[in-house]
Amino acid sequence: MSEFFDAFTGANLGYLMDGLGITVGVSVISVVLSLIIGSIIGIILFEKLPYFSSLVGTLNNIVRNLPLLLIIFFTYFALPQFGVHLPIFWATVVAMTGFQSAMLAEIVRGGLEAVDRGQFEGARANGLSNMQTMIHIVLPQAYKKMIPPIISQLISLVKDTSLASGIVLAELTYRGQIVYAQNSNYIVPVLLFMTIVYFLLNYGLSLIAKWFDRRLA
Amino acid sequence: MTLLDHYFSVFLQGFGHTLLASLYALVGSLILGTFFAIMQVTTSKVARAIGNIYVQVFRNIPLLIITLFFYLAVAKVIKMTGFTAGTIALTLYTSAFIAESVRAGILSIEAGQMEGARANGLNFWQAMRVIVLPQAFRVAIPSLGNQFINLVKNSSILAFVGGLDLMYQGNLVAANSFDTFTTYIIVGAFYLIITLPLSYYIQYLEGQLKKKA
Amino acid sequence: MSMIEFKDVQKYYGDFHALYDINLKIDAGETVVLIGPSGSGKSTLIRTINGLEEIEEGQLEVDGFDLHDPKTDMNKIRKNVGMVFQHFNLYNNKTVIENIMLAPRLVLKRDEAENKKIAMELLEQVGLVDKANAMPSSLSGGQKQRIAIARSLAMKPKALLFDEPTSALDPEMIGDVLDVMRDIAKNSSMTMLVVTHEMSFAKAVADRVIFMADGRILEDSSTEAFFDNPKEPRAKKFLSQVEHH
Repeated sequence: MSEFFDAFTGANLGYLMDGLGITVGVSVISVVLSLIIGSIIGIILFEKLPYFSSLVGTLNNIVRNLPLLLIIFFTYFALPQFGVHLPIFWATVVAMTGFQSAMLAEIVRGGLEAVDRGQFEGARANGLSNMQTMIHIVLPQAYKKMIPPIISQLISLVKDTSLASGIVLAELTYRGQIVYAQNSNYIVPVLLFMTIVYFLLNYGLSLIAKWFDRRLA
Repeated sequence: MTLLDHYFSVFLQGFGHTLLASLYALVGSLILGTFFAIMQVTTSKVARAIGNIYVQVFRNIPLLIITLFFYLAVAKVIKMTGFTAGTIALTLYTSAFIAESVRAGILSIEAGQMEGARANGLNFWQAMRVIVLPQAFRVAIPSLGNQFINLVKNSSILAFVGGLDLMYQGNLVAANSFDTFTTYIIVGAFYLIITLPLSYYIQYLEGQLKKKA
Repeated sequence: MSMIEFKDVQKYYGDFHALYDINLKIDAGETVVLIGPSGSGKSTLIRTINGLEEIEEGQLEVDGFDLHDPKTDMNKIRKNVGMVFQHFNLYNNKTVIENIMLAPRLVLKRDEAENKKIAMELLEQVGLVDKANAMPSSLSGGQKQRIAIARSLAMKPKALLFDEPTSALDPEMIGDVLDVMRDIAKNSSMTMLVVTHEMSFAKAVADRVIFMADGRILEDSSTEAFFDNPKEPRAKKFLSQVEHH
């Protein structure tokens, strides 16, 4: 049993926890950016503008239906062919944001469609412009309903950050691999440790989602 | 397009492995997921707790960690290829999400269906199998479809463990041809062949359901 | 011979005392109507008889089985005790005839030809032969309830429990359902326990009337005695209220 804990020297633990910091950093930046971009795309899809909305919708569907891993590889390995050289951290953020924006856009569109038509009509009849109606009346109501699915997207984001170990981003999973590369006896303890860390983080998030769900019900 | 011609058999082999892993994992995760969904709706506190823990654990940890666990740790005891390790991990991971979809489906069926069947003399499993599940699955189809799309996309995890899938073969071609851009576009197109039609079909089904409601 | 017997039965929902000191004996072949204001525990009582609700204390014997004994196989009791619900609970994913044939096939392993024959006879009995291949969703409430009765009868039960069978029906549908129930009571040896607000049905069909309020049985009298001269003031008040409707 003592061998089991040998993997967790102070240095190793510190190294792993710094990785967790990068995981959380990528997740937070990506979720903020993708909330903004996803909302804009979602509104475009909802408004059904001639040609433009269906074009954006098609692109959105393509991104949504690709593996995130492919998008990460593409951003990091293929874009340099066109002179776009992103550092690993930002390449990950760009890839995650692109992918998550597409997922969130669908959630936003669904949330907007769930808002009662009467809300639009009431606000418009009351003299608000289209934009004002959206910002002051409709979006706040839509976001309320969207909080739980948005949090579950955030959970996938945290989990999916592990994929960036494929482009050698030094987040938690990659650092775990470095630690057990020192000694193969460390494989199981390190994997278990990472399981627990990810679980606590994401289960915590899912409890928050549940709490919102109950409050909003 | 010369790249596609030149490496066509490699891409096709990858596509085959991706399809195969997805189909195995689909069947496996439907069975496992349904089983754990039923556990969560029984009256036994123990069964409910086990079902709940299973779902929460596999939903909240990265697929890559599960995959590495099978590839690096389990494979030391039971010999298995990267393809097998990845497919098992994919099955377990997806089953947690399918359990959630099926459970939501079961809960959407009015309690009277189960009560009616029990009062009519059917035991719990008969009532579940013949009356409740067939109705629950019909409700859950759009959500199960989305899970299958995620499953196909997630099968790219096999690339991490030498699983010979589309993503893995794509990386080989990219390294060989130096034309990373074209390679990944082709890889993406192959994934879309499976996921895009499914995605549009689900949107259509959801539209139909909304019209009915 | 008693078919159903409660001895000092208590039932709680958490702190709420839902059934209080229930003592009740129903003989084989009897038709008993259970009435009382809503929330009086009628539905809870009838649902304990086939184990849809568990009792906490006392003894409950149904068809010779002790329901409070955890070793008792509920499925055996349910084979012999059918139930008709307020909201029908027909199988939404099965046709009308499949609704009737399913339990006999799965539980009694009845021969398929025989099963079909019995199902058609029952459809004839409830006057819905032409609906054999319809889906439940296409039926009216009254038709659904007649099918639900046929489904219960197909198991050839010794006793039938009716939990407010006409409460969810439009007024013009109620007569057809009551006719079917009256027919069973008059022309078979079925033990029937009926929770209902239909006083005319109770007067015409019941051997006995039981009045419940607040989880207790307040009166248990023969039908004539109950309607001509109720002993309990609450039963009197209840009768005057429902008869003014």
